[in-house]
Amino acid sequence: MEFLSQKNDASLFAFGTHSKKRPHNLVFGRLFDHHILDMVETGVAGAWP
Amino acid sequence: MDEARTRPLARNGVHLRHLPTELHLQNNCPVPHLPLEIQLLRCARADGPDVRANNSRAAHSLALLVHMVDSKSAKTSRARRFLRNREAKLNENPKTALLVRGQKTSGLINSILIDLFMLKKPYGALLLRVEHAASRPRAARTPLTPLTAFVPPRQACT
Repeated sequence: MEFLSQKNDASLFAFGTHSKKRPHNLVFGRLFDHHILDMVETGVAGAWP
Repeated sequence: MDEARTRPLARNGVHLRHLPTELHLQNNCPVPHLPLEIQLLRCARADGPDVRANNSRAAHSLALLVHMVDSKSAKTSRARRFLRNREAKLNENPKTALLVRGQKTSGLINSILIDLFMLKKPYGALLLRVEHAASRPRAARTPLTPLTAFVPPRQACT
């Protein structure tokens, strides 16, 4: 992630995964100086367009 | 002191006259062929007197010198402009967000990532196919920083 942020010059990220144990998982994070500052892991219960 | 060699230093705000004479007249620097500013820095870091203690102008000049030597140097003017743009600014540019799809995602997560990307549009990057270890955090040899739900905000950040 830190590599990708350096490449794209980005300081925020959202990372989406899905597994049986953690369905619809979405991790939000912030970076400072291309290093991870903090992350929050959330699960999506439902979404409406 | 050679006038031609000190001119670029002065242009960057480093005034040698603020620094104590014993600092910039030393000849016992370890590598004599290095650029002048690096020699100065080595002198200042090795066993030179700590000028920061009693002279704020000297401290300012020394700090600038350290910055000049430590910062990356660019060869072309285009690269110099690029690096200057990446430096800290008074008014920062908008933050770019990376929206990364993991190794395996559901349709729900995909649509959410696309929605977030649409909201963030000019300053976002949607990476749907990442051929990198980041897409497999559990298999990566160097593990990512462990997840914590809420990290208390640090002093430096807002």
